[in-house]
Amino acid sequence: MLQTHQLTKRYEDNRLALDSLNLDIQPGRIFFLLGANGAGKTTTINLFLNFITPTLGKVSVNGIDASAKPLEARQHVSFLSENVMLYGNFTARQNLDFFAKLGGKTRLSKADYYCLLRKVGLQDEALEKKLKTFSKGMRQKVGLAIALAKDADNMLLDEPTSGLDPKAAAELVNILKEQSKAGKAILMCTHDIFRAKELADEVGIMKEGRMVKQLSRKEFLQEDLERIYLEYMGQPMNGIDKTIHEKR
Amino acid sequence: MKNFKILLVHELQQQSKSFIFVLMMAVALLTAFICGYIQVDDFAERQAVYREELRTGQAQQKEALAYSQFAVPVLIAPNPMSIFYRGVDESIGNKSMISPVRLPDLESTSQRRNPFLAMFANLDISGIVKILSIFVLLLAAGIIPGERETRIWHLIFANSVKGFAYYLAKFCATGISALLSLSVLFFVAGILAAVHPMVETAGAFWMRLGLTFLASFLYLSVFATLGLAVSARSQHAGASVLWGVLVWIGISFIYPNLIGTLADRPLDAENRLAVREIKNIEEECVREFSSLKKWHGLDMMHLPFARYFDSNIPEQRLLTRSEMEAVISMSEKGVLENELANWERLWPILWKYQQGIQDQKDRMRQKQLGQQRSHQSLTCFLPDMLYEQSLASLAGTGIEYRDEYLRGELRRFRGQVFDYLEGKKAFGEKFFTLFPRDQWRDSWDDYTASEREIYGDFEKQENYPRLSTTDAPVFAFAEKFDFPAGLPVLLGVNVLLFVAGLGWFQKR
Ligand SMILES: Nc1ncnc2c1ncn2[C@@H]1O[C@H](COP(=O)(O)OP(=O)(O)OP(=O)(O)O)[C@@H](O)[C@H]1O
Ligand SMILES: [Mg+2]
Repeated sequence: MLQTHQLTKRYEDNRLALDSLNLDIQPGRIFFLLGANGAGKTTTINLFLNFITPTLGKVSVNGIDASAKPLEARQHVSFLSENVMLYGNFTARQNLDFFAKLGGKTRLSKADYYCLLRKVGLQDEALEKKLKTFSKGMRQKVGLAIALAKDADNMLLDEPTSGLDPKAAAELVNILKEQSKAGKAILMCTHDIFRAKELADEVGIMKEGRMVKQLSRKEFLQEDLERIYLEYMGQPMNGIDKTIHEKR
Repeated sequence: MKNFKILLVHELQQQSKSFIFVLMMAVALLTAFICGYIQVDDFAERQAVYREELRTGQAQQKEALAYSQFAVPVLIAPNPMSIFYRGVDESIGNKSMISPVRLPDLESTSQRRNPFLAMFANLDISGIVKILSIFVLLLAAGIIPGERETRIWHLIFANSVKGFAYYLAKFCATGISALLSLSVLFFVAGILAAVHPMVETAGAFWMRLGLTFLASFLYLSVFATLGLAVSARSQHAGASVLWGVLVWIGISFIYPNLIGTLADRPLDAENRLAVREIKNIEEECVREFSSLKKWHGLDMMHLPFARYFDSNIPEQRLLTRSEMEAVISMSEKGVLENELANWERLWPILWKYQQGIQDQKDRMRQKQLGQQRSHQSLTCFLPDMLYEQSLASLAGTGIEYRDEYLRGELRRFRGQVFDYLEGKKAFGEKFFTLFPRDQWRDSWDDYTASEREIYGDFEKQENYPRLSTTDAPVFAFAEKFDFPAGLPVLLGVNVLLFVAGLGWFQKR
């Protein structure tokens, strides 16, 4: 369960990166956060992990205040970062081993690691290869394996499909479906509208730190999500305000 | 703390794969063999010289014909700990002769014969530890910004990992790396020392070595905490490493040298003048004593008595021997008695004169040491100084020990020698001859042939009787053990830097 209430973040340089965000992602639900570059998606995720502290508002994981008790909250979150960087001197398996242990999974065997890495689509010959030889997509896969290994109640995924080949992306969809079935609350930040249509229970469109549109699965299946997205992106901020008022 | 263990093991694996770590181990291993061998070899040579000097000194003592030739050799055995910390083991001197005619001073026994060694002579094991410090610093300085830059941080702290556990793990891992290189170094050098037949390694040696190891570790760990502190403040690994190097150069070279030149200069000139003056006076004094012993050919059976005293003591000017014989027509015995009487009146004056010089020398020493102490107080917080101070106490090769304690001991021992000589009535006629005074004759012709045989042989020294010196005092000094005061301070510096670094780290 991932929740925010009136969550606002203003950086030291006075930039308002997030403005009164309200989110409620229940167990088993997949929430897609769409938005242009710089919309505030990564900022939202960083607030859940307390890498940055909120200026205003509340952010909680499984009901635990993430900014007051970050260590406790983090126990319940699996995280895949935007551009996965790992230890270049270690193999995929060694990297996975380290982060899985940090995530509290100390009893996994070599076979378990191999199984996980294969599941995210890493080729067999890459399992024991040093990370520094990996492509961006391969690193992304190891990052996903790390998130899966932790097996927490909630998943925060920052552009997980970037750099993945179509086959791997399709596998990711299956994996996420399976995870949501297992009762995980998933927040996925992405530019991938196609995946959103395929997977999302709910979609939020962000622009300049504000949630300008939120659609349930039923709603966006009826309408053309791509068109809505582009419509919002094209409009200036005051225009959006008007649209929101009109809709209400 | 479960995460701490995971982080620690990981960081250790990470460091062991780094180039700096491999280089550090290679340097430790290689220099341990080279410098260990050179230092042990040099120690063995010094030990051999020491034994040789001891033998010749004792032989010389047995050869003395009269108490004016009497001397007690004082030799300080080379300390096997000097393999690890040379300090001023030799440069201040390890030899002295206690005799009634000269002031005791420390002189060096051996000249270094090996030119290669002369080059590396000061590179003892502690010197290598100092070199290792830069590796430890570099190892520590790159860690945190490296992980921050690559955003591996985010992946780590997405778990319930405490900043303290993370920081402590990084510190401990660097500490263990430092410990590994130190172990290699000390193990190799220790083995080289222990297996050498000339190096006597008693229990105290191992205890001191253990503490030296501890001091070395605390010293290196200062650079680990320092590197981490720099690391915690920096955004980029490159900048952090650069800062680390700058800080290292600053505290290891620039600051101590600056203090050294600034603090020493005004006092140095003054000292040099004082040293020259004292040297002059001392030489004069020695000249006077040696003039007492000068052979003048008239008396075939004794060491000559005093005749001339320098213009320094003008009221002591005496008649020459020929003046006495020719002008006042004294007999040979009369001349001897006369000179002896003069000598007995004079030697306490000379003794006092010597004592005065000694006091002056001591005052100057004190001044020098005071200067050194003020110098130390300006650099006492530097890890290098704290380290050297600890090692000096442990190895017994520090300036305080060598200079103050040893010189003090020498003075005390000189007092003992004088007491012994006074007990032997050595400042009477025995100072010059072993021929009993009550058997002195008026003329050389009055002696029997056998007496002439024995006492007339002074120059060839074959039949002449020898002093009995079996009960002469022997210099014995206890190995002094000062608790290395630098050790707890080093520990304090560690804690301080660790806390400061952790504070900076947590702020981010
Ligand atoms: N540490 C920071 N200090 C100041 N401003 C920041 C900081 N991090 C992000 N921002 C700003 O906050 C805004 C939101 O950034 P954020 O990274 O959340 O965007 P995003 O939606 O993740 O974009 P992208 O799709 O490119 O990943 C951006 O305008 C960015 O410039
Ligand atoms: Mg982003």
